Amino acid sequence: MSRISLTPQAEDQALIEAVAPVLRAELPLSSLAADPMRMAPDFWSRVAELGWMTNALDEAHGGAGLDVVQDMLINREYGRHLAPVSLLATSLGIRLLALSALPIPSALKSGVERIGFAAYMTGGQIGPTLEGEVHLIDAEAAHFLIVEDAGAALFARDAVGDAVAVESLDPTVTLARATLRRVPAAFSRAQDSALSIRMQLLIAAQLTGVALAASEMAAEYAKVRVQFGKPIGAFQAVAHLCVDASVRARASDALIAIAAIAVRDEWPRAQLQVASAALLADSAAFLAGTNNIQVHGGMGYSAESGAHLFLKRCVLLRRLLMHGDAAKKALLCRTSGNEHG
Amino acid sequence: MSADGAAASATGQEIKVEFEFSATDKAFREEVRDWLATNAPRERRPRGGRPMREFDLEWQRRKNRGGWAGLSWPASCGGRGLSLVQQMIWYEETARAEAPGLGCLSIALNHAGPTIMSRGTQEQKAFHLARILAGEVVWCQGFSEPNAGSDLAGIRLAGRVESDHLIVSGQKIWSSHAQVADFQELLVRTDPTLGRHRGISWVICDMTTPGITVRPINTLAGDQHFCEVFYDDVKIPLTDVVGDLNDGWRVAMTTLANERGGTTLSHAAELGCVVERLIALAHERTDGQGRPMASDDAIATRLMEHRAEAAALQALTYALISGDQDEAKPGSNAAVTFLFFGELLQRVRITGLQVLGAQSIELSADTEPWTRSWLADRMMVIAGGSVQVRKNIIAERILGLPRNY
Repeated sequence: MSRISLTPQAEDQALIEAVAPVLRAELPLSSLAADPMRMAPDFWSRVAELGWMTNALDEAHGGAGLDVVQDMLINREYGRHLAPVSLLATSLGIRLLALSALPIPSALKSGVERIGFAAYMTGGQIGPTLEGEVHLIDAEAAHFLIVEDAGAALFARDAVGDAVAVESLDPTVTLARATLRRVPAAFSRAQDSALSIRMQLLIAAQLTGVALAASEMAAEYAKVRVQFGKPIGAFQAVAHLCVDASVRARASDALIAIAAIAVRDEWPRAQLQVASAALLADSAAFLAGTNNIQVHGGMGYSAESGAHLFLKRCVLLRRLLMHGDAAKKALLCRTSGNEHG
Repeated sequence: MSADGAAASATGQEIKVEFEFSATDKAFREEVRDWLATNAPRERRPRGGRPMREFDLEWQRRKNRGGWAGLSWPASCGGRGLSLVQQMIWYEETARAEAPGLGCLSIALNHAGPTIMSRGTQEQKAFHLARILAGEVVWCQGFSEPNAGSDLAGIRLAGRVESDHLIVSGQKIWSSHAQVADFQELLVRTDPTLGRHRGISWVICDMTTPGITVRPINTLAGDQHFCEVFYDDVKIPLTDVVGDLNDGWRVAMTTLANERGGTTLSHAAELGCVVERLIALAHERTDGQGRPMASDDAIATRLMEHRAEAAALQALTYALISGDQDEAKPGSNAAVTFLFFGELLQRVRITGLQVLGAQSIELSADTEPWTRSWLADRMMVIAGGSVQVRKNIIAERILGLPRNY
């Protein structure tokens, strides 16, 4: 019998249930809304202790050996709970070191130091030294990971000259601009661009989580907010905003599962599936983020509802999706078809 | 926590997020592909009337001879008894081969037949099922009325019992292919005192019965897909009632969800292929300066979105047929998939016009697959529940919002 199962069950479900309650306790939406930068001082060491930085490494490298589908499920939870994006940057950066057979600093494993994402302003090279203007996302991180279609590189914060702080649109993260001048880097230019595809998939998973959370928040509010004597969800104009967000989030959720399986099982069209999932997740998160604010009305416009945080996170994560040539080519090439496996 | 260590189910199989066709299903795909390569008709399907009817019936007869009639029907009723996965494979391969779909036989095969199978008498089954499979008869649907469209339970077509007959009077509308149909599945108000959902009967109506007038409706796409049907004291034997008298609403609902599942699979497969053909077209056709339409940024952006969205639609159908659905019925996710499909199809069709450029005003032979199809496919956001009704249903049944209509 063919085996088709897109919904996490059993052990995969347990994995999610190990992550979600921690995030709910550490980063409840109400406190993120009240103070987006507030976080328990020991957050990083606590989650490091839980193995979150290394769980997707194989056991030989001291990890838990989660496969990429399980990594996707965890990142979907990160997105759902607006977890710090540096969780993923750190995990991917450690992966880069492991794949390059470089030592993994114990400060990273223990959460004393973390890795943030860096992203070129207008594209740039990956190599032993890095050049060009970048965003530093989570500007206080000790190291930064920069990923392009062609590969990935890791550099130390100390090696960067002056960085100029800029206000971040997503208030849960600090942001800076810096110009890299011959910055030494640990790098990988894997022929198969495995790390960049993995990052695209996992960012898409986070965006899917954002879309699911925002669409659920909208529907829940529409059930309890009463105007004209009934819950506002009884008005079609409001209900349809909720439905549009939810349908696109569900489509993204189905596709991200297929894309993750495609990567894990090395389907020939894995890259197309990932590029598709990224595009869908981006649009789903943006729609759900927008509609959630709209359904909340005046409360949605207020900072204290926290509804805005999903939309802002969407824009931040979108910045990290490679809309490079590889994804474009995969989505626009002439012959593709729908077959696999 | 490696994949190898994933939890084992009661049957000893791993339970994990996965997608793997079995060797049997892979071989099945090859079998379908080979059969279609030799047997799918090459000529274009006539757009209407008797030639279309004959084309669809001939294709059905050919499938019947090859053992491909009644894919989802159980073997005990003469069908092929395919699993959902194999049905999906069939639809994917038919779409890829650009082979015709069920055409005017879809009501017979997807709806009337399964309804008779599940609720009909032995006599009804013996008479009708084999004729449907053999490609001898066309069925149409007689559900909607001028004042009962999305609000189907509002039907008023009157049927009063006189000895062993129903005497039926009134009107139906939006009856696809009624002008070429032999039989009709007809919802009749047989007891107006019982309330909206009761007092309706599901009846087999022989379209040659005296008193029936069929008036085809010209559509915006220039065809005559739908008809109005008028009934003037039409005598229908009580032996042609399926299920109990006055229980027709439940009889109709048994198979409606079913039908949506199956047609959704075929719609999704076809739409995936339309997107691929559109991308190919955009690479072939050039603008006034000789540049491929696909190099236009606006068109390229839309095409990329369509391919990604088509992949999402396919993923939604995989979720529909997945093992996760075992205990649930395909109903609720089918509603999400059907809505996503309808809205995506509209966007794809609009891009089709953009890619045609100057020729978008033509209904000529080479542009028709895009221009006339754009017009015709407007049906897909209206028929079977308009997009707005689909959203109401999802809001209530899936999101749990208060009923809003």
